Amino acid sequence: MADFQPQLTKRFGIKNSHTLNVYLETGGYSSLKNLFAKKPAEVIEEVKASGLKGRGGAGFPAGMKWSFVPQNTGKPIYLVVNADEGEPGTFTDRFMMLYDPHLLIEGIICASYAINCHTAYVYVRGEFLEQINRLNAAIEEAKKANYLGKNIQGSGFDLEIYVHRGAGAYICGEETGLIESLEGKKGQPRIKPPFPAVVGAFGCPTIVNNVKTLSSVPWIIEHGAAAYTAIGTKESAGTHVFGLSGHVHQTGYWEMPFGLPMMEFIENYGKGVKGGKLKAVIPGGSSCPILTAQECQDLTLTYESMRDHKTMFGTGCAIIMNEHTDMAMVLKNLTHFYADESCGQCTPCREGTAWEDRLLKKIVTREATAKDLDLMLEIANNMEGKTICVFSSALAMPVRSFIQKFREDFEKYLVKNTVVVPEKITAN
Amino acid sequence: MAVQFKKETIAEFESIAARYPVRRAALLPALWLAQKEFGWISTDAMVCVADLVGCSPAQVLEVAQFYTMYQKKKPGKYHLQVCQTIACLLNGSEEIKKTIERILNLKPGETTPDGKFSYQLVECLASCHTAPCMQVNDDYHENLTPESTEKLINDLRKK
Amino acid sequence: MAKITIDGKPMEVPDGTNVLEAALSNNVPLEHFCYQRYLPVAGNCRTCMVEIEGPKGPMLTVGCNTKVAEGMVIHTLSPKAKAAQKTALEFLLLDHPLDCPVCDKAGECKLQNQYMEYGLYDFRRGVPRYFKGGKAEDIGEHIMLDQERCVLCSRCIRFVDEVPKTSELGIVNRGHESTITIFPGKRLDNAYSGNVTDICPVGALTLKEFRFKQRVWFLKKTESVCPGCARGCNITVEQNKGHIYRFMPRDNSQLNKTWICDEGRFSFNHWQENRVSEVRLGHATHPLQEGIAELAKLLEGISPDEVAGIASPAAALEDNYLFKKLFEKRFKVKNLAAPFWGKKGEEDKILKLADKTPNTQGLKLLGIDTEGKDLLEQIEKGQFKVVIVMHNNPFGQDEERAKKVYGKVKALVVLSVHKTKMAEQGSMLFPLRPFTEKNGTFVNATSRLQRFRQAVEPENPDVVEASLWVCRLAKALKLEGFEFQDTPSIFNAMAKEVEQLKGLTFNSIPGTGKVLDLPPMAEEPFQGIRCQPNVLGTAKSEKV
Repeated sequence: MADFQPQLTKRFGIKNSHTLNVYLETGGYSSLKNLFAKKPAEVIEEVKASGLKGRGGAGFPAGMKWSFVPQNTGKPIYLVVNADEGEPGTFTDRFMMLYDPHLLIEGIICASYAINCHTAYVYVRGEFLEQINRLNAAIEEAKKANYLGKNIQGSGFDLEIYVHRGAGAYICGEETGLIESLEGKKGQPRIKPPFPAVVGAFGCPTIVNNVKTLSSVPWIIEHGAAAYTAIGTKESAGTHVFGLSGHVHQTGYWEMPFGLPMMEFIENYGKGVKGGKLKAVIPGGSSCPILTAQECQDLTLTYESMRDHKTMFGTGCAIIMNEHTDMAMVLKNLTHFYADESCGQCTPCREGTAWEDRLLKKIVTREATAKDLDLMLEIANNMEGKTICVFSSALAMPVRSFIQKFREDFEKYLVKNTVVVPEKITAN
Repeated sequence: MAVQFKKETIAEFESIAARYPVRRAALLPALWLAQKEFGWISTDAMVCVADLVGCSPAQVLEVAQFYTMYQKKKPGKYHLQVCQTIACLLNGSEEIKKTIERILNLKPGETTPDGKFSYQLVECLASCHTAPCMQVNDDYHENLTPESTEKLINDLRKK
Repeated sequence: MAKITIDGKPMEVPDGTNVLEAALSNNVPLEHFCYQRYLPVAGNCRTCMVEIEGPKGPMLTVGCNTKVAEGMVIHTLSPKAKAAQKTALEFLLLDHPLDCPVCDKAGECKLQNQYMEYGLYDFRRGVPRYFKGGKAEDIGEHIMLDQERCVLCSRCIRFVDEVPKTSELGIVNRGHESTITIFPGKRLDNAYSGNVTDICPVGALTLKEFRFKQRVWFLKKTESVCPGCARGCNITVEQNKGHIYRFMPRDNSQLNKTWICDEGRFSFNHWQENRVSEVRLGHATHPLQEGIAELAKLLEGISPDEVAGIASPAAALEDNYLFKKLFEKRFKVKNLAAPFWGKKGEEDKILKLADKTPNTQGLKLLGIDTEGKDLLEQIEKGQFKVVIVMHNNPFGQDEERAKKVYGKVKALVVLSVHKTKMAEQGSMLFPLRPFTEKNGTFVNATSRLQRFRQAVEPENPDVVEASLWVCRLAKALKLEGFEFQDTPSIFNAMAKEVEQLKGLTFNSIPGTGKVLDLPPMAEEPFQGIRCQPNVLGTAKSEKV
């Protein structure tokens, strides 16, 4: 990772990096010249060619997503920024908004111009009050300097940005749940089709993009797709802000191009595993299947390597666990999280997430038999891919990978006597 | 015991509502305003919000209950929201929970008799690299240890 | 039309149909909880899972939210589809109380039916039951809520949001702690509240008026039409051993969908209470035969000019038709009218109409004066010796006036269903059958001719319907052309005479009615209400 210019975090550490003055001094809003020189369709093509993938977790190509917006409906088109960062293990968007809110705004301008949107909403999770204040201040500054509002920099393009504060629901990170929440409802994901690019917020075509996805766009517009694809790997172009948490000596986040080996990341950036040898890694947020230490040996920080290891790149924030970690307790923590955060809409997820949690509680309180452990696997299969959104899969995958890869951690809790005692019949 | 919004709050709400093509979209902001003004979201506050936004009280109830940050019970002066999710667990959130429960003699969801502290377990606060962490009202407190937690609470007690 | 294949069987369905409806309308059973054909698709129960062949192989998806496409190949019975259907059901039943023996929905409960067909029959919860909410919570004038039976399909919520737009119900909390609720201190008491119990696929929402009254499998159902207002919502009359336990809405995609108002729904007792059950002449009861003979004798002694007739917008087309015919043949038809007796009622943009009678348009079709202003004045002036009032009360609430008027009449002949003030005043009183005890037709406000069938037989054979009463009187008066034994044959004779009915027979009237060439007197229902466009129209079977 010898030479590379940070794109997303270059202002981090600079005093008052969140202000317009510092932003402009350090090359801010310089992509707009290129942007307004192009036609919107050309901008989409440029972003398509850059290979920029959605950084929110699903990794869907951003330019492709933009191209799905129908331009002939006569309805307004909305851009909604997903800043509802809540995936356990993930914590980098908050700094993007805190230290460089103007970069996000610049990205929003680029994307809005490309899809012909004039009203963008930034959906920020409710806990990020500081970030909301920074964003609002930055929006005010940008408006005064005509980077937002009517006829931006004489381009003829109009754009307003509003910040919408969430209120504590993980599921609002799902793009249609986020749209529902923006509309003042419970954040229950919508059934698809129609997809939000066609019928999204307020019944209008809507694009939902993650903070880092949009913050990556100005660099692409300024330097071109070719320069972007030259960074990283073939399938994982560009840079990303990678995070480390859990059992490492140095937790934190670092921007770098895609492609660093996971073990190097842990050793060089995380300064090694804390408290013992490496046992397991959840590579990109809690929903990604867990990997054993063995599996991590040839893993790189790319979409393709994660896929080859039957896990997901997710948000690029890894959770590291040492050899003393009790996988049953960690999974119990996750089943509790998912049971707590399930929106309760689809039957398999509503009942399945809690059922897993109840069974695992039975296991860790040493009341379960092997049958219960197998039942957990079966429930995971029964709820995966059977619901409106991927939330149920986001628990099914960890359940399956935890139990399959670390079964002994669960078996030690099982009642040795495997005679099945019929459940006590009690009066209601 | 009906409650009413201040005039300024209603004006603030109207300026927020104007940002959206439909008024209903301003329900979350309206609940934030209610929480700011009344301290928490009581049943009366929900009726008040329903009137303001123009939806049914049941719709407000649904939304208020769905989002954990809306306080449906009056919280203490200092509302301790301890992250209980994976990265914090790996870095000792259990000890932080025990410390709070011991010092304040509280269980999750409870408030001290003097109304000074309330305690809630929350899911991932997106501060995993500085785990364990908690939010006290709107402020993050990170890299907690049982000792720093105890000190924080003692400092807040004196305030 | 789109050619599709379901489970190897080729079939054609209209474009825009969803896979679930396509299957059901072709007798392919596919269970579902949250889908209701007139409400927005929620797709949350995940039971109508099917596999659809695509470029990347078969894909598992819900039938309710998938529109058919030309050449679509659908599997409802493939191992993956079956497994998805079964496991969705297992999830639904996970913490269900299984209190079917004491649940009023038993017998028409989707959960119960589907379990019998698709259940895993292998109890394996493995953890203690989670108890959800309370039992038998009183949440409205008519509605009880049994929280623990709820499967959270959101049908009731979508109904109150979309149709009455009152939004009293909501689902609170998240995950498996989600529960249906109403706002503290508020009640579910909109004018259409009863519908939530029909669409509740389980026993979570039940009607106070029906709870513990009758097992549904004992009920016999008869196609009928609500006579509560000029809308004429389609209903079924449900009875056992002659007692009516409930009126249920009957699907008519072009009229009331599957909804009815509470007023109509709970009128079922009205039709079996406070009834006139015997013929009364003066103060003495008589057999019908004697009553008719007595009346015939009376009529023979006076001039045809001295008899006035009051027909009725509440009576069937056949009744009014023969009543008018009697006046044409024996008296003077100008002395016949059918003024509406009551006050105009409540009207809304949904179903309710201000005209609280079912057949005003029928009177117009037959050319019977619905105002009768002149006739009433003449009666008031004492120009008639005999006044025959059929299922009507021409002076309405004005009792003083009525008393004065009827004092001038030699004989007031009243044909009445109920023991009303009007009935009391009659010097000759004949019991009538209400719509539940006879066959007949009404024409609703939007000119839809609709048929209702007899659900119950009265105990006393002297209680006859008005049309057949006219036939008996005509026979006693030795008139020809009244030799009818039943209503269908009266309708068929009438259809030959009335232009708009030409070509119809009683039995050929479609179950959803037929719109006649007659100017409507009201707007179509559901003004400003977003109803799901239902491509397939009215359901063929009750299973939908």
